Amino acid sequence: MVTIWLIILIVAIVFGVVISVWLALRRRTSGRTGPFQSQEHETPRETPAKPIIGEVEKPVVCDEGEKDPIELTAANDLESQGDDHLDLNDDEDKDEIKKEKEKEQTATPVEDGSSTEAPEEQPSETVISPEVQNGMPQRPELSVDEGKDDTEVEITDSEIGRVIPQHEEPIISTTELTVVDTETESEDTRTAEPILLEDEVTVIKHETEKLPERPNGKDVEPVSAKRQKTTPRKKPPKYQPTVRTPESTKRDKRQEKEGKKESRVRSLKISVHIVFGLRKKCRVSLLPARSDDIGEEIEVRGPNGQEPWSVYQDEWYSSILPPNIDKLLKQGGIWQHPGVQTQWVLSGREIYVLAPSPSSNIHGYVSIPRLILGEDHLVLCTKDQQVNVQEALAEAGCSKTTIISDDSSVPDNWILFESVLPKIPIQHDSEAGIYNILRPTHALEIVMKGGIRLSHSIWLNGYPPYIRIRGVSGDETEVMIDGRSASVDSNGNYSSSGWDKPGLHTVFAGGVTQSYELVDGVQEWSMFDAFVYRPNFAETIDRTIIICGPIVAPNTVDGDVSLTPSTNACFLGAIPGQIAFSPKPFNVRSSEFLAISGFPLVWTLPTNPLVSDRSLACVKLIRSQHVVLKHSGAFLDNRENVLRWCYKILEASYKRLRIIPDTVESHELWTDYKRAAHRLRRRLR
Amino acid sequence: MNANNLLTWLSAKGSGTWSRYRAAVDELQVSDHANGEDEDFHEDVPDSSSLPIHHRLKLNLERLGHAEFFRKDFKNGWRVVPPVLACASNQPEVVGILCGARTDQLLALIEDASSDLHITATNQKECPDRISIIANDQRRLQSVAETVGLHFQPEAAKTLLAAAPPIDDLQLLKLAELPFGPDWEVKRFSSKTLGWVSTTADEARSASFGLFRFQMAFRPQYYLRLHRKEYTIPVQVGKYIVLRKHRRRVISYDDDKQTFSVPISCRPPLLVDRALTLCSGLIPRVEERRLKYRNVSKAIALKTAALLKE
Repeated sequence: MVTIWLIILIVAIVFGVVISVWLALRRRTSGRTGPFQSQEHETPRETPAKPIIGEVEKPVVCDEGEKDPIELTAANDLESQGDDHLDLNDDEDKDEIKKEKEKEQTATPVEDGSSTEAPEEQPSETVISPEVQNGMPQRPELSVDEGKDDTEVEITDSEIGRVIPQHEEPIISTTELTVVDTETESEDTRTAEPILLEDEVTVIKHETEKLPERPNGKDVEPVSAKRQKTTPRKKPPKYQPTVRTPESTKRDKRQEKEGKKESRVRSLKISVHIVFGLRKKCRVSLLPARSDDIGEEIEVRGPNGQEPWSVYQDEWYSSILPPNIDKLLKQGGIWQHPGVQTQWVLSGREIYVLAPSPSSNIHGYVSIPRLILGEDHLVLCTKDQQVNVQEALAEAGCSKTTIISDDSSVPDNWILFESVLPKIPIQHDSEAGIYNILRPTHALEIVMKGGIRLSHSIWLNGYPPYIRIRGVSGDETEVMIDGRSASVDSNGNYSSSGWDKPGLHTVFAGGVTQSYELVDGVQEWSMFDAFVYRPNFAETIDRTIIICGPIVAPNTVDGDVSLTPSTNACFLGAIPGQIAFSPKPFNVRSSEFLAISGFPLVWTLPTNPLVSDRSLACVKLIRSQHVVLKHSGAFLDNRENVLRWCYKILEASYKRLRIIPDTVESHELWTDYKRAAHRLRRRLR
Repeated sequence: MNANNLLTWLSAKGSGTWSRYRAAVDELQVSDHANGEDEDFHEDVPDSSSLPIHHRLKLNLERLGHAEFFRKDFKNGWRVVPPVLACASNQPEVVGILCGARTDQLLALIEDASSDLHITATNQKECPDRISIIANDQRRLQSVAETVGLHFQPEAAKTLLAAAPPIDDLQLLKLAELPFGPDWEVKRFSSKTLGWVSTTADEARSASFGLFRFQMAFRPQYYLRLHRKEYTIPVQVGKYIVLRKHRRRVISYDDDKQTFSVPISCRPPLLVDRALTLCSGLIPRVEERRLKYRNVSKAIALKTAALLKE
């Protein structure tokens, strides 16, 4: 039996082997076109990117039962890394990776010309080698840290995203190089020749070498999502040509922008400012102009280093007095404020013309472009130019000029011409050069002087500016104010009907227009805490005093402060129950002290009237106010305080203390309070 | 132009920065009457004759209660005080002095409300005109103030003195540390000369008592060294503490002329100075290197002496 069964078993095995061999032979002959096989081929196409997007992809792999070793490795690696990396893989990255995969798929036929199985293997290698090799998926991030500009990568990526669908050109393999080169190399060196691939390898090696410097990649955690985002951007090495052109264009644009930015650096002027002080001592300084959008306190870097500037007026910073002003005046200087892209320029020269500020908002003389006919000027020039300037001024009809040169307040090697009053217009000549500024021409200017200016072109109502015209000789110019012809008085001030009324006014003369506005200023002023003190005797009362100008007030709305005789430490209000006692201040040497109460004071009297000295003690009226019996406040509800209020009045009355002030009104008011106290005492007893 | 326009400008603006104030002084071209004999009110300027006009105006505006400068809420600026009628009893009359903001409309209202009273405008050097209303009764002045909408401060000088803390009040001291660094110019107040004497920072640190000025770039800081601790303190308060410690008396009072005087370098603390100024509404005269306050009653002089611990 046993032998029979063994034979059967052997036959069965042989039969099985034969069948299996047959099936295997049949399968071989059937080729790769079957439905099962096509599924096998499709799967690896999509898998390579899955590990990158993390654990989400892992169940997909398991469900399908496809055991792609690469996939599993990636998934396992990601899993082993824990949650630290989850935040680095956001949805945007997924999208970008998908896009990247699509691009790669589009490019694979060409890119992998050397590979026999390019469609399957290329994406896997591309993803894994930088991302998950050796379980270090954060490697690309490190490469970003190593000197790669996010912006640069971003540009490349964005350009790729746009360009790829349109271009399917074969030169792809230098894309990554382009990404690297954009910062370091010129555009001429960036060709699509394969030799550049060597550089690419260098770059990758360099990144790989740097990798171990990070302790197991644990410090990847703080890398921002943005950096993670850049990872795939650096990756695509294939679209260099397509990227390059827009990149270079972009770079040009950037350069243009930078150029524009540079040109956007605003230049404000620095004027020369001269003020005469006591005994005709002059002070030469520099006055930087100000724009409203620049802060009131700024720090600038000038020829003498860092300088703090503070605002002087809406249009000016406070004048500065550099120690080397003599050289600055001649050579010029630039003060820069990098924060607001502004610079102040003093153009150096040997002759400066100064005149009173047109709006009269600056005391003294301020530098102006050239002499103005009929105006009083100062001319500041180097000693080398003295003769030439004197001649030029004489030509302009300045006959009574005087020179200040020995004054120590004039910068070294400079002299100052005073009382420069040009009367003769002289035509400008290009050959005259700097001396043209000493040639007055007819240049009409509307000048608003005087009044009380609140800001820029706004004056206080009732204090309008004087309107004058300068730069022209004679009265041939017609001046219009608010469209009405203006008349001029003996001082040269123009006015017309309604020119000094509140509102906006416009002055027009010789093609020049200037406006001014008259407004009311602040009309209501509130009290404020200039000083806050707590009197030492008020510690128990817990009250403080506010002082504002001559006003002394309590810090509460209902409170009151008043002087009272030093004998009177009992304070009464108009409402029965309003009673307070103050400890007598220990340091009071005068006959009065400050009474502070939580209610409006009416009377002050001695704390214990019955034992007070009649010759010294008194009842003092602080505020004339009738007694208030119909009051629903808390004072009347406090029976004890009401009784005390009554008793103090009655005791003071019984003692027949003096009433201060000794007037009929005071006595009558005291009598009213006495009656009220009597009535209340009877009622409450 | 005069300081009246400056007060009008201050009133129209309400408040502002120190630089704007300075610019307004320049722009309004307030007359500079300095004659080299002005008081030494600004401690950081050794030569009082070179004091700029805006500093003298500032002090006068503060003395007269028109504006406040550099207080807690505006450390680098100023604010105008609301219009106040500050009363001073000058038997048998009562005088109300107009302090604070001032506009043409306000003056017109006051004139209308006090047509039966005597209003005077007294021109003063380097400060706005004193506008005073004289009445027989304080209540009349109070009614004027209520009609026009002014604050009313009865017995202004006395009340201010009653409210002002004495020089040894701890509220005036603030614990601090002496500045470090070699660039500071250190001086010590001398009770003998009533001036500043050069010293060193080390001496200041080792001193058991004294008022010291640490100055760098026109920004003086004052420290009182007391009980081996340093305090920041208003310089005028510190001076009187030093004088008190050395038992040096500097104030004097002439009862006949009702004049209270102190040396120029020992101007009283601001609130006391204001109270003394409001006795007459006139800034103190400078005579024989002393500041002389006018129309000061004996009671006020006594109270002042008590506050100054003289």
